Amino acid sequence: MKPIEVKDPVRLGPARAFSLSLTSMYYRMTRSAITVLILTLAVAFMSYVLFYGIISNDAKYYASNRLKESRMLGEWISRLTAPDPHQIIFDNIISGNSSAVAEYAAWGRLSDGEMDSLKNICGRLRVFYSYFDAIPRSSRAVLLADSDPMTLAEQLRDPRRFEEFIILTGQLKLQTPMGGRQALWNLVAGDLPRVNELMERIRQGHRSAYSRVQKILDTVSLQEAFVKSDGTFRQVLRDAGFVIPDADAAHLARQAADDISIKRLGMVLEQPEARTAVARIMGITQSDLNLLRCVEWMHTKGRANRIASAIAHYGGREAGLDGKRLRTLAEEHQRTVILQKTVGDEKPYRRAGLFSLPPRTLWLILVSFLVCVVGISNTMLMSVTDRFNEIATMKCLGAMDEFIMVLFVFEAMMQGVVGSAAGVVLGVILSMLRAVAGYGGLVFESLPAVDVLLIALISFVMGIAIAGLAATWPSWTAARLAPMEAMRVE
Amino acid sequence: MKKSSASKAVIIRTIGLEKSYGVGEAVTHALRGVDIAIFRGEFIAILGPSGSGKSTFFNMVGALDGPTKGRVLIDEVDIAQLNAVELAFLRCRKIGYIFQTFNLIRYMTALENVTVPMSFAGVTPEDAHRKGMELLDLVGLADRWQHRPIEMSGGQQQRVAIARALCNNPMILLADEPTGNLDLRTGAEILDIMRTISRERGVTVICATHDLRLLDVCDRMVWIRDGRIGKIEERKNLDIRVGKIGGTK
Repeated sequence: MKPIEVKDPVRLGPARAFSLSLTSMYYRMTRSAITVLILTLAVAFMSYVLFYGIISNDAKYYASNRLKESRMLGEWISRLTAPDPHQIIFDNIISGNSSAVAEYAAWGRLSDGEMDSLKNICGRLRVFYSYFDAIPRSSRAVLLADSDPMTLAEQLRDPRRFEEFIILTGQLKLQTPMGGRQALWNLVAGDLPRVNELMERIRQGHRSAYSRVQKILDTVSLQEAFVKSDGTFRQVLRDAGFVIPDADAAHLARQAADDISIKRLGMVLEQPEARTAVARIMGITQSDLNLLRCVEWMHTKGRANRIASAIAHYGGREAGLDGKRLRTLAEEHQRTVILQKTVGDEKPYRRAGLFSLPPRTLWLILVSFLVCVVGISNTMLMSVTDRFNEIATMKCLGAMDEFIMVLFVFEAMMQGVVGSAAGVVLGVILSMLRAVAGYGGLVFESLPAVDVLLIALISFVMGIAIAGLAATWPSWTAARLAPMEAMRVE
Repeated sequence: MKKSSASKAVIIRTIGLEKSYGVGEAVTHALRGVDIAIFRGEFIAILGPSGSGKSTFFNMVGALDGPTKGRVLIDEVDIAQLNAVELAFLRCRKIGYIFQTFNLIRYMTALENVTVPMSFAGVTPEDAHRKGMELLDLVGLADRWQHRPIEMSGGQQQRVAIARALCNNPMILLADEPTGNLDLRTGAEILDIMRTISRERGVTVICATHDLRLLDVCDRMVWIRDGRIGKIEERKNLDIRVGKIGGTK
């Protein structure tokens, strides 16, 4: 059989491919615009979910940290007025809070061996408590009978109650907690009293530690001591076993000052004349007036000044409650409210990387990605099937399968560039709008700018890649058809 | 004339050509064994009622679709043996196609449409432009080179298609009902152009058609009936008189 002589194979240079694609897109402007629009929407949706995911996560995490800071004074005051309850000691030991554990060891004068056995028993107690999370709800109700695992553990020290419990678990066809009757008995009858004893020692030590501090304070309140927060007070605390980190001292001083101001404002408002004056300014009846309402109301400069001048004669001036101070208090209060709203009920989540987000957000991102892929694929499929006739004609004119692929994929990627760029911009705008609407100016404080840029880049590249890949399959199918078969598909 | 000396060389030969579509009980046999030899420079008319298989035959001969059975030899090369590069080369350089529906690329101007196959063949843009203008001049559309298909009449589009088919100097011009979508007068003009090309350039023309005016133009006519060759007639053995259209000619 005589072979054909191919002197000069057919070819398609990049410049020619570029100009062909441009011509085609220019002429089919409306169609291209629709394709680009769909690409834009798909990428905008995907990047919006991504952007909002990290922006809101970081805002929440940031807010929860700020909130923790704002609660610092309260925590210190409670630590300096009452010993930690058993529950808190237990939690601190289980979570391995090293500074708390060190304090406990010092207060209770626990030897290393005693501390280890405390940790060991707490660990086993946790196993006992979590036993009740694993069993069916109905069985749990029978076993606990309106009580909680902790109380139950105390009750089981009574041998009769213990026997009842073992029988009950048998009737419910459950395994005995701790893997056996003897282990359970050891835990509740031997280890639990030991833990209580150790914890009481810790509490006793804690109590004597803060009473030493209080003795020195004498007439000054804790808040006032914190406002000064000078070397002596911190030294007193350190001697008693309480260490204030340097980073927290300034925070504590400011919070204590605010606390004192609020208390003084409250005292001023207890005077009937001052109440009348303030209530008149606020436009409410005297009986409706309370401290919280007053603090909420005076958040503008004008309002703060009016209240300040009203209470000046009733001890306001002596207490240092001028307009500026009042406004600061109101702003501080507002900020705390916003922080609380931002944190919400969810546990704050600390991101370790770009995509280390809560599972729920990751699911949402996956779904949005799929929607994006499906949307773009469908658009590309349509724009290719739309042009079967053109593909067939090109093949009759000597185009190789690859030429057609190159033309279509190239066109798709150019549309991808425009669509993705617009989509990313739209996604940023929408997610920022939503974040600002939800969390206010806080968003700008916690904004992970580098990550946002990184995600913008990722979404942009993904949009182009998906557009290119989505055009590959249909155009490959179309290009491989014999010209006449392609022409028949109408 | 050149044609008489070349008329003995076979340019296309089909051997036991069969083509069926579909599978199982739904199968239709479009071609049931066609053997024919077509000589260089000939003007062949392929005639037959609708569904007789003439378009299928056209596609087989033009390497646009593969046969189910049998062979098609173009210039003694079996097209079933060709790989993608060779097939593309064949379609680009050796064969020019003209379709009933013109099949111009709608977003390109007349000149761009004509130059596409030349750019595939590696002709420089300047040469392609010059040659494209020459060909448009040949079909009488030099002044409309900037127009897009949508701005042209059917006859004008078909003329652009003819110019496009000729741009790489093919040996064979395949036309599938070139006058099917045109009115009588424009149809006649198209046939006129095709006859001129056949005579002056020595291109082998194969034209599937219903149009009986073609009988006046062609050298041989092949009648296809039910997927087989019904009869082959030489033009010179036929005494026909074609009516004149619109009082012209």
